[in-house]
Amino acid sequence: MIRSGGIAGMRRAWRAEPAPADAPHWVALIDDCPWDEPAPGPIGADQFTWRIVARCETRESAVADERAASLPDHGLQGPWRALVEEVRARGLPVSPDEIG
Amino acid sequence: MHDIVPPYLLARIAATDEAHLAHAADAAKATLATPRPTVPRAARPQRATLDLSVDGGTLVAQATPAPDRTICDAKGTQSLPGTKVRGEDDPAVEDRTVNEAFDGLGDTYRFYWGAYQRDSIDGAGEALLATVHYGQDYDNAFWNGEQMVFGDGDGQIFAGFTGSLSVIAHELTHGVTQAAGGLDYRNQPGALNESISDVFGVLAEQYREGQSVDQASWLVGDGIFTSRVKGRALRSLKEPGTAYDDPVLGKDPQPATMSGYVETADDNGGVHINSGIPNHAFYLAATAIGGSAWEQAGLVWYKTLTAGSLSPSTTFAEFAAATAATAAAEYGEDSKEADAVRSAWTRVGVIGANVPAHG
Repeated sequence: MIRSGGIAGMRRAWRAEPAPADAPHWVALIDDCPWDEPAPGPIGADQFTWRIVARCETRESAVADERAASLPDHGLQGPWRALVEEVRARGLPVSPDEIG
Repeated sequence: MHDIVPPYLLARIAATDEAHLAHAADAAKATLATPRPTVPRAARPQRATLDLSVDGGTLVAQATPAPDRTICDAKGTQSLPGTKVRGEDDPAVEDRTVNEAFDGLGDTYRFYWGAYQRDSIDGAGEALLATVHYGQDYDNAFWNGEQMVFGDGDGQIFAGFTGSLSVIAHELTHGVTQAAGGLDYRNQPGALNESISDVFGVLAEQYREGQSVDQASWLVGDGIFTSRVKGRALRSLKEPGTAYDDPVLGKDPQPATMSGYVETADDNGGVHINSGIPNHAFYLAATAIGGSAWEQAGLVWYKTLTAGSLSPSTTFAEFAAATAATAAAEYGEDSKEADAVRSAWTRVGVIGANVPAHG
């Protein structure tokens, strides 16, 4: 996931690649998020914006199931916040260019 | 209608039996005897600083509008506004961040009043509310549409956000832009919104320090990085793209001219990146005019912003044309000021031949 904006306008990125044993926990976190709902627009100015990409690959299918969403910081509520906090806590900071 | 001199002061002046103040006492009695307006007063009381002096035998009372500040503490949560920790009439507290926010709002208020006779965010004495200690290691300061919010920074990259007047004035100016009609926070109008906050952010600092265009640093956020960061500030209006170059943060990505305009989906279309272009145009105009940047170039930008004629979807080219028209109206078509503004926008590639159309 990439965080951009803020008064500094700097991009920061984090990525988590959980071990297979942790997969159910992460799949549940991802499934809880309302990926298909329209995100709220920006409010005020200088708030962070988030771009989140989740990719699930299974042994049965070589085609990855990918979901993506962009939302402002004030839209990080409930399951979105849980997912973001888990990635920051258990994932690693990476260069934003690695995520693109 | 608002009363500048409060009735209790008028009453004290009216009651004086000092012979040399008889004229002032009579004037105060007359004022008190004036029928009160029947129209209900605004719910929000206006604050003023009263300066009393004696000129010959006359008591002179001069009132200037004063800020009405409230600082709240979110105590590491992301709940707003948090607990009130300092109001306008309260003395300084132990928490340095609270006092920095309080003083920064005051300096910004005094800048807007002193330079443009604007009474607070809405021009009508709007109360200034800021929350400090927002979130945990929160690397940001923002305007949420109603108030200013300051994180503490993570201590590794950002040392905090209240130590820089240009940052505080940047946030308050987002409120001014909103009150003036707003600029959509996306793509070019969003970058203009950002640039206007940077411009008046640095001008507030220059005004407080009494700096000429040559003395000013033209930096936004000087002092908010920790000493570990290889960088001077967040942005430079003088040399966009040079504010920092750090192994962790990378290099300041701001362009100075349209040839470097960045198309991106992040940051609401790169509003903090492409703001470098109008930022540099302001710098070029101000330095071509010389003197104190808030006086001519700043006035042109201020009048353009607050004229009520900017659409929320204003593009760079439309803003450039609007500032050129303001400068011509204010100083004359052939004035140094109008020429400096037109020339600045031409040098950054916003007006002139082959201007790319970006939305």
